[in-house]
Amino acid sequence: MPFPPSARQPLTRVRVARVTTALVLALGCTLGVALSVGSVSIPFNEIVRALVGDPGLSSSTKAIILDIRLPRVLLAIIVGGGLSVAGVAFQAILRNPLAEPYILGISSGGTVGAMLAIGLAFGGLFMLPVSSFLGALIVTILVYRLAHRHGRLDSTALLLSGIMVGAFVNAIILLFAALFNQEMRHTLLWLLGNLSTANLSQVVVVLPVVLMSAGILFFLAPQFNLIATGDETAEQLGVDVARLRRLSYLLGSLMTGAVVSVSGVIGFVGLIIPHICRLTLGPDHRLLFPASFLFGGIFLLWADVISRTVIAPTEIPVGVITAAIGAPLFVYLLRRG
Amino acid sequence: MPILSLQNISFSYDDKTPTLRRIDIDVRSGEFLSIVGPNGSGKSTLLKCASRVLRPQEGVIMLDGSAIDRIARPDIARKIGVVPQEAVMLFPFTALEIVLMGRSPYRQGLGFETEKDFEVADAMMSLTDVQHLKHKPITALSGGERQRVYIARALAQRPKILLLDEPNAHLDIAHQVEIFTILKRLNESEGLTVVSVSHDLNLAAMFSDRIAMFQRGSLYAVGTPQEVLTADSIQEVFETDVLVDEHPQSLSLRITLIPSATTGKHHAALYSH
Repeated sequence: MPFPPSARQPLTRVRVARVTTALVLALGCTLGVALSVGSVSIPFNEIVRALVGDPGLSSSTKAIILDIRLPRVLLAIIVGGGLSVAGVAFQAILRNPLAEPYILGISSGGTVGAMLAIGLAFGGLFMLPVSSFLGALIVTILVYRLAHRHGRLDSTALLLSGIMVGAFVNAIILLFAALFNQEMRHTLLWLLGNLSTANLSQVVVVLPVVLMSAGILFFLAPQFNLIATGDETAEQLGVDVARLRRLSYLLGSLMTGAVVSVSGVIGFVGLIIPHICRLTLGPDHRLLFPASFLFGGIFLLWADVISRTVIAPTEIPVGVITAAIGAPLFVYLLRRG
Repeated sequence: MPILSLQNISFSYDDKTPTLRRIDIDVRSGEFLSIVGPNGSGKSTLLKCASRVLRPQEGVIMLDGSAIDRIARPDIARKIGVVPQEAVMLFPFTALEIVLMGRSPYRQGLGFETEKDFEVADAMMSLTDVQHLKHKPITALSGGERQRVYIARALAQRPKILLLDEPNAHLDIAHQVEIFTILKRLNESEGLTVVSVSHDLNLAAMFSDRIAMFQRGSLYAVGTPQEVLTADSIQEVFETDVLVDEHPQSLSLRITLIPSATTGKHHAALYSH
């Protein structure tokens, strides 16, 4: 399906439909495996019976699938998809293939927001993501401002400010943990990112936020193509660059904030997925957005399956798995320039 | 009526030092206008104001009789095409994809390209001699090839006015002449108005109907090449001695540098210390 880069044809509706369908099928298969694999292995037919609500199924099997594994796999898809789409958007508007919520410190900003909400005890189901979103947005704006020199966005300054702000914000997180007498272990798990506390109400809150933001970005895809080739060119071809940039920061932070409030800081997904998709499918955002969302979901599902099975019954935080794949890739991309 | 009229334009990047001071210039429909001047004289800034990438602090720009601030961006893009100075490309869009972007002011929604878009892109790529690079990623092309792709993109907008910022900066001599010849042909046969910032005074003299000469943010002179490109004006604006005469074959103006007795001596003296 993917053309070699030298012979790539311009994108068509048919190709978007084909690639999307293939990825949806792959996501479905992955979901089946993820529901089946775990401390107790459950055969596929029982998964299907649980999902359609067969009364003949034992209540323990039903509970494992519907109450434990289903929220977790759904959350993995939303988190993986959301981070990837945010990565695609940030990379285009900042014109930097290394930009993503984790590297830019935005995920850490979201975590501070979430911790503050919990620490000051206004961390209800809805306030938690809102507070997390505000934390993410503040870091986004701060990093962007710091990277601006003489009216121009400096690529190196952008990465460095992201990393520095992220380090500073991580220190604040640890300070909060000490001040609020939070269990350090819990804080650490948050910093490393994990999906083990997933429940269905989180899915209900985060899913619409991520789907809505990703949907809006998708419909702006042609404008992202233009802005990826330069602000002035985009402006001259009819894009309101300032508005698109504001909207992208807002939606990118919104998605990151919502995702971080339920999963903690899962790094590098927003780097790996857009990169692989761009390499295999081309840089057109009309395909890049949906493909990255679906592939991001598939990727994080597998990472989560590995994290909870490889040294079972002990769970590795899923952020460890994504960092183990992402960090070397980051170095590779940086060296390639 | 001028197709593009800049009236009393002043612009400053930092609100202190003006980059453009009270510029008044009318671009006539169908003319080939070259903008010349030393580095930092405000030429590129003027083009950015004219395409509404920058907003001048003072003055009004009229496009086809309406204030450009009141025209929706896609409508401007259907009238004005811009060929920028070299832009950094990070994402490997193919040459064809880049040229098709010139059709975006004509599309809506997700903007999948129509047959017409492909036809226009194809024709413009043949015109600028980049057909054979169609499926190559823009990141793999040379500076000159990229420049010709950007010209094809601007032409694919089917604009009435084409603004070019040093279109020959990355081109070899053959392609410099070729691109200017194409622009002149479009200018004469289709009435395309061309406004081009140029450092090459000879090419400017050869192809332009009029020349606007800039000096430190002000319009120094505007008129026919013969009126504007005199040895005296070039001496004053560029601080360089030149000989201006007529080319024996093309009969257009010919500007030749005269290495003056003093030029370079000062620097040589500095170097020897």
